[in-house]
Amino acid sequence: MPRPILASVALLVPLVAGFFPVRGDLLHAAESRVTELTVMLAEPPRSMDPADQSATATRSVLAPFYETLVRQDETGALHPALATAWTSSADGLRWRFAIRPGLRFHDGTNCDAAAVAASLRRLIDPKAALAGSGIFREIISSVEQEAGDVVVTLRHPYAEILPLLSVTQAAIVSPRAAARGDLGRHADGTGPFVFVAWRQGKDVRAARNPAYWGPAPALDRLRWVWSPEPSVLNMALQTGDADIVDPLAPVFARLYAPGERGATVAQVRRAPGAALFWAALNTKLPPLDDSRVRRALGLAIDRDALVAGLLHGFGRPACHALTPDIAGARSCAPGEARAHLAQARALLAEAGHGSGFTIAVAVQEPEEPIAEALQAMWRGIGVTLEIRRQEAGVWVQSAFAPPEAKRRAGTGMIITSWSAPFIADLQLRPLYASVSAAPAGANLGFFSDDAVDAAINAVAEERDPAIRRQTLDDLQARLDAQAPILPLYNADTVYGVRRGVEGVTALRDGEIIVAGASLAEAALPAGGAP
Amino acid sequence: MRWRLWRRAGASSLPFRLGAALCGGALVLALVGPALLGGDPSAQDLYHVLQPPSWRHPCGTDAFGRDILVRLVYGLRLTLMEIAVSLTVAAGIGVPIGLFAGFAPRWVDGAVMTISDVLFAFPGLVLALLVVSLLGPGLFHALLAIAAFSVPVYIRLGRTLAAGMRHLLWVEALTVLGAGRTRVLLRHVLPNAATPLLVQATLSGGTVVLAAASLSFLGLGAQPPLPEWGTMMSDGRNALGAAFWPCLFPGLSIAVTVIGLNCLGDGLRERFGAPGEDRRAGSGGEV
Repeated sequence: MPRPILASVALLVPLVAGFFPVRGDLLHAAESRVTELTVMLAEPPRSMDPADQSATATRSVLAPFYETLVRQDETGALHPALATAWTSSADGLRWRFAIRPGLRFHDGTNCDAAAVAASLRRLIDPKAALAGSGIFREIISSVEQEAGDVVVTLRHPYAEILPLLSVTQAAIVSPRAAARGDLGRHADGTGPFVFVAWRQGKDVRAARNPAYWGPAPALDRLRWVWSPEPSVLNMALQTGDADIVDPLAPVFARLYAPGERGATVAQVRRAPGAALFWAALNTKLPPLDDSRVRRALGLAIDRDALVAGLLHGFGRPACHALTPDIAGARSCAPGEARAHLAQARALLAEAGHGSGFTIAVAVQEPEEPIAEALQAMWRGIGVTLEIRRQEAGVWVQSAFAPPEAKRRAGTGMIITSWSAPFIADLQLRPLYASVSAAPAGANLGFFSDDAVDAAINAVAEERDPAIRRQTLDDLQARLDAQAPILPLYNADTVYGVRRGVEGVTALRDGEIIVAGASLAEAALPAGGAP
Repeated sequence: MRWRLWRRAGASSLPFRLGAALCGGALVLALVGPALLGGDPSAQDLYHVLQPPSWRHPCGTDAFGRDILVRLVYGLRLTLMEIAVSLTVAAGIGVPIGLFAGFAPRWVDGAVMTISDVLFAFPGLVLALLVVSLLGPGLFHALLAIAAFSVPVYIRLGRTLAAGMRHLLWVEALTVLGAGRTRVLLRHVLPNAATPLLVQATLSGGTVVLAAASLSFLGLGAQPPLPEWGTMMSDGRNALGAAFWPCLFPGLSIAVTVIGLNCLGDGLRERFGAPGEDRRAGSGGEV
């Protein structure tokens, strides 16, 4: 073969080879023989400090590093974790937790009662000002160590203290790492995986914790990467650049339906989610200060259409304040989720706004489709919705602005979501209580109602299930009448998993649990298991 | 005389013919398309989202169940309006400044050119992003931003044309006869500069379409539910991989329009010379 042809072939082979997707783990398999799982999320973690964040994607990353006193599973059932047993005083104010013996943090220090107490005291320390600690500071007055146990004393009875102590923010962190001050960048807990590295803008890596007290994880390594583009997440799942993508946009689900080509490489998992999407109306801005106007806007929404069009069926319409996983939550009555335009028009006419009006909504890009759908729906009752799409930082300023600033800007509505599975108080207090009015909390429409405040407190303290259920029912009826927030839908947690990956679960708040995952033989890198 | 030149340009240049056909077709479609197709570009049908192209919806439906073809045709009107507004504002500001600078004392000319060079130093889209971030998102603000980065082009062109004519005999004769500077510029120089300005405007049209679509794609231009092509592509990209049509058809529309404008501009330039090299002005022109 002439030399130029040989040279061309030599050049072309690697070039052409580069066009074909090859899984990175296959390339490295022969040399490393380790099992690694790559998870692609929609956003990077915000912190490695569990108490200093409140984002679902961040919780998914932190879950393998940290543990809480008690653990709540996807059905809401509570299980022992770092605490092996617990008791409470008759008045429900003092809770004693027996700490599991022989625990160690990843940095080698003992995780005993003293360390657990120190971690919880840090959580409620106002000087630490941790982003996810507000509710804990309100409820817990002190944390003490008593003879190998930890005693948590509450300011007032709180019926849901155990579920509350199972959330990521209450995870136990190494006091030594906390004192060092770099917990935000370097995770240090007791979980089954040890933090390895967080490369900004690139990935987070973890390795199996050989000293873990529980069942040893099947995987050697975990790796998280991220992209904000839904189509990139889908492509990563198809090419194998990621073993798990969370979330997988519902529009792509049909690519993995049985019989489709995507079904041979991955499957779509769907779990009922607690993420409630809602629109908060500015109750201090006319004409939205009139509850009839707010109710009319709610009646003009076709929630079934929102679920069908925006979620492709992966969700449920939400007509009331509480998510369905909470005992006593009202669900949509038959036909309630459809639009009732005649009733809406009548209410607007009664309120003196029969000719319609204009309101402005501040929204981030992911929720903009909701605004666009509402814009079209409300045209039917003469209401014009001006959409202001904003970047995350600008949106936070708009959403959490005080009443006067919102009045000046003409911000009538905010669309966002909230996730607080199983805990009614966490669903109600931040969104509806007077004390949570923005900028202090997420009551973004400045709703204030003494009866609602009293009912929220009563629900939080009441331990009798029957009385709680009745109070919750009355409270939901009152909120329906006032309509300060328009519930829209509960989105399911939809994520994609490559064939051969097993043991992945999703919690109700959308958190993906991968610590117990394993790779089936077929999915292992060439060379087999280590 | 002019019409004959246009006809000659058309007869001699394939790009000109293609460009004229595409631009003419676009004009006709924008005028009669909405009436022919009917339909509301904002009417949603959330129960039939992302339907593939069919007889009922030749370009399919988007993520809100809206007919993409109807939106494209209404979007064409928006696109033509964007071109008209941006170029009118840019030329309306830039040309008079440039013409006066060309006839002004050297220090004024130098100052105007320096300012124009500073504006040129910014990449166009970056300058537009700056303007939109100051004014706030919205189609009108986006058009002002696009005009802002086009202004120096017209300043420089106007100045070059005026400076080229300043020492021609017929201009000097007018001055000797007592015509004032404004009269000479507006009544005599400007008409002679019309052809290169028209060529430049045609060439800039494509840039305007791309810039407006880019700003809208980023969420800084047209706001929902306006059927702007960049916004439509932005909406469609979230379904790329599952549905190609919400991105493909607006993208094709942008490409065809830009090709049409560029071909027309190239054809005109081939016939009449590049902007700033006005042969007729150099050879005496019309007084």
